[in-house]
Parts: sequence; structure tokens; C-alpha cells
Amino acid sequence: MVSKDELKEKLDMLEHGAALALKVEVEVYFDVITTLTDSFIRDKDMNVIYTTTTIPAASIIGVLDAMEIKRDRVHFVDAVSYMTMGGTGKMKGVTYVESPTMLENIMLKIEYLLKKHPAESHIVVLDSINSLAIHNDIKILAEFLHILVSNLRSHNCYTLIMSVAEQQADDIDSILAMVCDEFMAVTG
Amino acid sequence: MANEKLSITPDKERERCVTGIGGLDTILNGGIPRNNSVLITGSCGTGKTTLSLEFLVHGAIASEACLFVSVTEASAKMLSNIVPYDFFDEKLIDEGKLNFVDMPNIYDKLKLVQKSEFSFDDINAIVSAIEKIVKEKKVKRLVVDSITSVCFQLKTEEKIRDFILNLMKMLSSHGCTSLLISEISPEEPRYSLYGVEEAIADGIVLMGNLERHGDLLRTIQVVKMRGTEHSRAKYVLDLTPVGVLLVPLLKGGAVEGRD
Repeated sequence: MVSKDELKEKLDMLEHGAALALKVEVEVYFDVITTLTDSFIRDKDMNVIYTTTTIPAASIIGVLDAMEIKRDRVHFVDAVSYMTMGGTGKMKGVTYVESPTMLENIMLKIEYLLKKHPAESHIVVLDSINSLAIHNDIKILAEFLHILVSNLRSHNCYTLIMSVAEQQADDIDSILAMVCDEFMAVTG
Repeated sequence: MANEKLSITPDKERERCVTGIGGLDTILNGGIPRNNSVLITGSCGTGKTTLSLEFLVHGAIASEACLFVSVTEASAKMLSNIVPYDFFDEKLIDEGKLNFVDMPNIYDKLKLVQKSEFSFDDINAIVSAIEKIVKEKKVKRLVVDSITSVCFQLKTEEKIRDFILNLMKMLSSHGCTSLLISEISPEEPRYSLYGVEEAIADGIVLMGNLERHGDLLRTIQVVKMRGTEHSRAKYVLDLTPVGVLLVPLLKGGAVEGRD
């Protein structure tokens, strides 16, 4: 278990191409998002592909802007705004997927962003596994994570799968243990 | 009887026509075997035209002369509706690498416009007209969009067979790899409207719309491809400015059957 203040140090120690499961307590959730985004962009000089299935990209952009974190290297795959009939007007840096049940399309949009910026290093954040579990059968979710993480490994990308500690079920833990190299719980 | 010497060389790999569509080349173990004529079949909105055009653009980038024969709509209109590729350069058209011909213009030259049904002579004339362009421009990749529309004016199975066989033979003799687009309705139990096309073609690539719990996914599946081992699994595709992208269809969902 690491505190949110120790998280940055832990992220720095990650090996290239690693897949990390990050179980985060609700009260530090936004702190963790900003810490990891800042850490990978500034310290590791990487692009962040932020896949959100919980909160619309526009809300996360609002948080990053409030924290004055540069987001010109953050690309969002938003799989929640369409479903909630939220604003899906053309927002710079945001690619939309119609529904969090369209798991193949989430993979395709990530693949698209990787091909669009081939010369750069990337971290792919999946926020969160809990919300994907609401909309998808556990078998298809396990298959999705297995293919996604294997594919990102072949691209030498970091993968970071976030989950909310308070909502975590045992079967999700087993899937994460199978596909990820490291497992980290973050507390306040 | 022909005295042509036949030989079987099972270990010899056939030369490939690399489509440039990453996922598709992987499925096909390196690309379409050269000189093959492949039926790209599917219902509307499945990405047949976009995929076929990308095949030509990659060929043109690789300095192969390419020809798009547009039957159903004017090339200019078709181009204006296509996904704007990051890798597309107008120069490919200006330099004659990427060529477009509208079939109605060929019909016009052959005085076939008023005819509701083509004869065997008309079929020969159409194939000869296409051959003239293929020879003149040294075309190595060709797309007909769509073969179904041409067949519509042939009426009989014999004429359709004659037309497709002649066209394929001619293209193959000129070292040309071709994609023949076939339009079918979503309920169609076979891979082509007339049934003849699928039997003759060297390959069949089936494109579809898969509905799963209310979501509509674009899919692609190589059903048959002579001259290469290939995956026969179904993949999901996306049409993007970096080209057609493929990922495996997740098997946890409901997958409809096809005989």
C-alpha cells in the first residue's frame, strides 16, 4: 500500500512497458489522476492516452486545467459521454466511443492514437475497471484486458488500469492479477 | 488439348501484393497473393469502398499504377465522401499512379448506355475497354466498385460467369491484383448476389455489421484466399485517417452464425 505522496516515486520506478493495476481510494482519486498525468508527461516525457469510462473527458479536462497541468500531450478516449447523452461536440484532444460496451472500439481508438503519434512514447490509462464491469460481462472484460495489455506491451507502452478501492470485487482482482505486472493500492 | 506444362511446387511461396492495411496483411500472412481477384463483399456501410481505396492508395505510394473503376457513383463524389487519409497525397493522382474511371463513360464510348441487357459481345467489349486502360497505364492494382452493378445488366448466370471469368483472366495475365466489390443485403445467405461471383473469385473477404446488445460493430472476415494460409476469424474494424484498423472480435459476445 502506498500513500498518494509516495505514488510519484513508485511510478518513476516502473519498468518500460509495464502494466500496473492501481486500486485507489475515492477520496484521493482526483489527486492520483493529476499526479500520474503530470508525472508521465513532465518527468518521463510521454504522451498520455486517457481512456475514461467513468467521468466524461470534459470533467477530467476541467480538473487538469484547474491544477494547471499542461494537457497538450493528453489524448482522451471518452466512452461515457455518448451513453449519458452528454456533450460530444468536437473537443480538441478527445475521441469518442459510443458506449463502454463497445470494447473493441475502445481498443481501436487507442490503436488509432498510437498510430497517429508513432514517434512518441505513451502511457495508456484505463479509468476505470469498475465502470467497465458495470456494463460488461466478466468473461468479455477479461478477454478485453488480456488483448489490450498484450497489444500495448508489444508497442512498449505503459498500461495503467485504475479501480476504485471501495467498489472492488474479487473477480476483478483476479483478472488484474492475471494481466498486470504490478498491483498498487493508493490511500490518502 | 493444350500442351502447357503443368507443375506443382508446393514449397514455393507466391509473391504478395501487400495491401498496406496492417491488420489485413497479418491475417493474410503478408498480403494478397499477386494476380488474385478478390471479392470484397458486404452490405451497405460496412467499409468496402474505403478499404478498397486504401488498398489502391498504398499501391500508388509504392509506385504501382492503380485503377479504380467506379460503377455506382461518380469518382469525384465518391472521393469527397471518403475518410481523409493522413497518408494521401494529391500528387498520386497528378503523377498518374492513382487513376479513376467511371464505368458510365466506358458504356458511353461503347454505345451501351441505352441497353438494358448486355450481350456476350458487349461483355467482351467492356473487358477489352478495361484491358486497354490496364495495358496503357501498366495497372498492377485494380478495384471495381461494384461488380454487382455491372452484373445487373447481364441478367443470366452464363453471362455473369463469362464476364467475371474474362475479366479475372485478363487482369491476371497483366499481373494485376484486383478487388471486386460485391453488394449483398444483410440477410443474404451467400457471399454474392448472383452466387456465381463467389465461386469464381480467388478470394472472399466478407465485411459486415454485427449487432451486439444494440451496438453496431463493423466486422471483416477472410473466408477464402487461394495461394496463402490465412486466419478465418472475425475482426472488428474502424475507418480512420491513419487507415483501416483491425482488432479481434471479442468472443464473449453473441456471435451470429452463417452457413
